[in-house]
Amino acid sequence: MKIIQLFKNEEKLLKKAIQNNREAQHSLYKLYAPKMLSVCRYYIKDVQFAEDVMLSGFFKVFSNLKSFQNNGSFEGWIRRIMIRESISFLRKQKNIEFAVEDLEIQNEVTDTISSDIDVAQIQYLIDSLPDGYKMIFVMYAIEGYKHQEISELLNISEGTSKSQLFKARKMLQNKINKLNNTSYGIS
Amino acid sequence: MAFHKFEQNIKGKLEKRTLQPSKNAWGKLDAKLEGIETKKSNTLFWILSVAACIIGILLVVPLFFNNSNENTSPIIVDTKTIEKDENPIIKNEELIADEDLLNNSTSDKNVTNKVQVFKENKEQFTNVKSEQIYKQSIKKESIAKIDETLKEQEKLHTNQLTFEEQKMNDLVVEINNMKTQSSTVTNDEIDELLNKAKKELELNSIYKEKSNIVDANLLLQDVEADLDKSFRNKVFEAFKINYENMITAVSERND
Repeated sequence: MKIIQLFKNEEKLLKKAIQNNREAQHSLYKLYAPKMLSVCRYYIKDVQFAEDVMLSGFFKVFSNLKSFQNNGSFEGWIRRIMIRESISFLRKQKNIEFAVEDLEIQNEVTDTISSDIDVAQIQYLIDSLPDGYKMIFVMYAIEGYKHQEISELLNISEGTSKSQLFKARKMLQNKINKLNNTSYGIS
Repeated sequence: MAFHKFEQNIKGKLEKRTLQPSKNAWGKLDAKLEGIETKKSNTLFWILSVAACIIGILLVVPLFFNNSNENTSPIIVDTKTIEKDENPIIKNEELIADEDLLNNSTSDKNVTNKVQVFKENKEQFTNVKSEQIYKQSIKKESIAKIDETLKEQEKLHTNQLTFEEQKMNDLVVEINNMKTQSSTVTNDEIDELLNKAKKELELNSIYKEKSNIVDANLLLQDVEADLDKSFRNKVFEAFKINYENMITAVSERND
């Protein structure tokens, strides 16, 4: 019942926001800004930059609201805009290199990875990845993009996307193992 | 497999995460949105102003061209005369075309001797001839009209001259009569008659028959002339009388 009401409210807000009603736009911002800042934070290490990217994303959202067709969810639409904004920000910042370096693949493949790891630690691990690995890992593992979509968005081949994901996973695994070892050692 | 589970785990945890933006973040966005609205309104204003200018130009241009057409109306009259001149050329061209057609028809006759071709050519010839006749009749009508207008103009001209001519004729007749009545006609008598005729002509010029209006300026001039004359006459008459009196007085004294 509450979800239906929320959906109706969102529809009303969208109609008003399309007519440049600032209050409606503010309400939509308040509703989605915390989630979208989190999305931008996946890709951008600095929170301030992430916020700037989020604001430019919202600016695009409100100035192109007319083009939003109710085919999918509004949240999904905003999310896609935020991801694109984050990628373009990273591209502007520096040329992203998709590293081809060989990683030391450990023979010991851990069957169990601690699930006690908290969000801050997860973010720390993601931040420690090189930009190329980070983008592909987040897009594939967290956002649920396919390799074809990733290759189109980043202008790379599907093979590169797959290899980068593989390497990102291995790197993360090593980092998690290190983290586990240090934590066990500490404790 | 374990890593896949780990990915699912971190995905769930990250999706639940929310980060509160700074307090002035909305203010920045609001300012940005305001800026684009003012830009939009400015562009709308410019678009409207340009559209208004175009509409204004579209409204003014036909008026301007209409005026220019009115001014150039005498040129249209000239073109009519040109058309008249062009007619013979057209006619000549048509005649040449007719001749060609006729020649073609004869050549076809000689070459093919086909009746159908001849018939077709004949039809064409008759069509062309009928057109020619029609054009000739139109031309004749137009010439007749022009003649009529010329005659009317001549009549008007003659009507204007008749009064003066009549006067001249009257004068000649009167002088002849005087000659027949008395064998000698003095110059003074002829001058008197001429003055009379002149006066009548002046009177006629003062009164415009067409508009039934008396020309005020001419009338004033005429009256002033009369006044001057009467004063002069008076002086002369007084001088004459005095002179006669003096002569009689001198003659009486001598007697």
